[in-house]
Amino acid sequence: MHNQLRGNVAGTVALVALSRENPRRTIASALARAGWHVVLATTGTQAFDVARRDLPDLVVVGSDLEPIADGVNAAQAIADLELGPRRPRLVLVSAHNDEQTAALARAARVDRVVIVPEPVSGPGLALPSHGLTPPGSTSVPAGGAPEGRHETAPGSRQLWVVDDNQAVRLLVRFAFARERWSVREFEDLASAQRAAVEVKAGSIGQPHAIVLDIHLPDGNGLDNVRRFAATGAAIVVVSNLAGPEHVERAFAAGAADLVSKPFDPRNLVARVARAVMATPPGIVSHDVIPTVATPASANAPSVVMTHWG
Amino acid sequence: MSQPRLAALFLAVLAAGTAVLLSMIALLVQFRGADQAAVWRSLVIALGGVGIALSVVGLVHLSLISARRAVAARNEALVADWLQVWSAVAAGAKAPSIPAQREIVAAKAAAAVLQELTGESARSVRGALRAQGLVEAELRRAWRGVGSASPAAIEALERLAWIADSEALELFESAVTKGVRPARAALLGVMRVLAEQDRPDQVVNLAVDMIERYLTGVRDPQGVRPFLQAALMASGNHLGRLCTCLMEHGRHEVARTAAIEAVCRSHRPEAGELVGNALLRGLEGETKAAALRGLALIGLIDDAVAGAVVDATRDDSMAIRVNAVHALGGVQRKLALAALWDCLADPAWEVRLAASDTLLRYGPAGETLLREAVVAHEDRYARDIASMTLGVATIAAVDIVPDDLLDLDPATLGGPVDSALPTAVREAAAGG
Repeated sequence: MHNQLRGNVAGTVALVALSRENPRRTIASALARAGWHVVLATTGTQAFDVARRDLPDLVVVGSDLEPIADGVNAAQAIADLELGPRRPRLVLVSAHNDEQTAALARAARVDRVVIVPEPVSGPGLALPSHGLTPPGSTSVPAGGAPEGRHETAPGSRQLWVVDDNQAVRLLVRFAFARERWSVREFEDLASAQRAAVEVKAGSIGQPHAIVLDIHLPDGNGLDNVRRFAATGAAIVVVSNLAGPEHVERAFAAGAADLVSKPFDPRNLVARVARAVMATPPGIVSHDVIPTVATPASANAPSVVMTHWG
Repeated sequence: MSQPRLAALFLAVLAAGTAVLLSMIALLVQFRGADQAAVWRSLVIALGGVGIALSVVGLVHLSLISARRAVAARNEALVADWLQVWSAVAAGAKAPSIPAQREIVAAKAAAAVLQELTGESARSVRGALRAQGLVEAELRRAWRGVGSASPAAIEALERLAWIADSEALELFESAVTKGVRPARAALLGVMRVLAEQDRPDQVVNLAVDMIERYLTGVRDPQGVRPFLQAALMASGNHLGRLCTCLMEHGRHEVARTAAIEAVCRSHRPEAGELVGNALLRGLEGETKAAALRGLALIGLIDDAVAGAVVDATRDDSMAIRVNAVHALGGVQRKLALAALWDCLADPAWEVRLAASDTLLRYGPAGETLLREAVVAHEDRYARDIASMTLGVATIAAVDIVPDDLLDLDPATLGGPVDSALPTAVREAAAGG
């Protein structure tokens, strides 16, 4: 999927309009890493308004977005827009390779259709598949979610919390311990990074999730999201600086979720569990991201979170 | 200066002073006619005595310092223990009883935990604090000395501000006029209590009243605006409701400005509508600049407010024009690009720079317009700022544009203003 998107597009602004969070985030991350300025939308109306405003060069739109009006699909509405001299490339993302999708693709005159099946949860399967398959494949076999750490028993789930505030570490520890997570605490980035190196070397087990603060005594947590994501863990950034710029940077760097302080630890447990479920194993690994990249640098790509009243 | 350094300095001064004093006494005795041997003997004895005295003083000081450190470390350990207790309570454990001599450390730990907590967990901790009588004890401690500004009372008040129990509202109301530190703690406390309310109206009114009283009492109201803004943001989900009240006409200008800044910085869904409506109702001076700055920060501006933003680009105040130009980044293209084209020719360089930056932020349409401006804008300063922004040499514009057009007054073009705009604007407008 990533290579396909990289290969087919060469513009600057990409609109990713998908109601399903997992493929939306994955595609947005892939495009951002490929150098696109990515704008996200989660509803048809948002997508339509953003397309009209930002004149994207590429529109990745889901077939399941709710109709703009009178049954007109967002993809079709965007295709009908007069978006400047150059028509944007349209990629339609659908969960089903059926006649309905084909009809919509024809109506919207899309350049490509990508089938991303719904996540499958088989009996006894702890977590669903991330659901991303290469274009052309049409379904995931029942129970065919990837094997790996996500399917371990709930009792053995590992969490790292990287925060210099003792109160936060304790709150996280007690809340997660209650849900039978095993929690490892780090006061600073350096100690957490050493542990991440040990994970890479295989000397200690992978964490399932990392709760990461932004302001740490020896650096900025956001600058290290990629490095920690390389452990394969779902990164949940927890900070009292959850402004749009931090949201943008966190998600662009591969964070699975962002929780603002003050927080409810019980709610955090739920969000971390959800982030672990939604994090596609193998999407980010130490093989592809060996060093830290700062999205805010001059040539770095970015993902824009569009806020709608 | 840190305490150990201060102690060392004190010792040095004490030693030097003592040495000088003894030398003076020795010299005095010598001049009185005593024999030299006796003088030297008395001097040696005196210096020995001084040495012993200084050693004793030094030892006492070191003992005091280490004792203080030991107490601090012990307190820290106790606070850490209580942090664990309250964290466990937040996770659903039952609270233990609190011995009277541990009330302060337990309250410190509770305040530290509640700084990070919200929701059901925070309610659990507050409930436990109340059940164990800690809130009541802290209230007693604060009430006892808040009028006389005793440090212990102010510290208790500050802990109560973080604990944010509604029983402390009366204390907060009283403390808001009792000096800088109590007033700040009181305002923070009332905001945090407000954040936890299901029915906020009564506490909103109290908070607004306290802010007004606070601002009329401080020497430099503008100077406290950043604190006020930060305090307002502690009101959580009721920030919009509170700021609506504070933005009403007749309120203190600093309160209105801080409210606008706080609601915009919060990026709450209602922020755009609140500030947009305030702008439509008519704002002036700093409040107007703050509203435009806030709208620029929010980034999406309703069509109903867009006209007011465009009007603000023609305000007499340069600061307002700059903020309005930045806000145009969130206005629909049809209006924004035309207004930005005009702003490129603003008399103030800051406004022209803001206009060109905003055009760049507009993406391909804005960049196209900037390129048009390099060669086709009627104002030479507009051409200049556009070329600077794009990194294009101005000389290129002079080469391309015929000389007779360069100094042409737009008013002499004859047609409506729209016809003088370049093709890019019209195309963009047609598309938007």
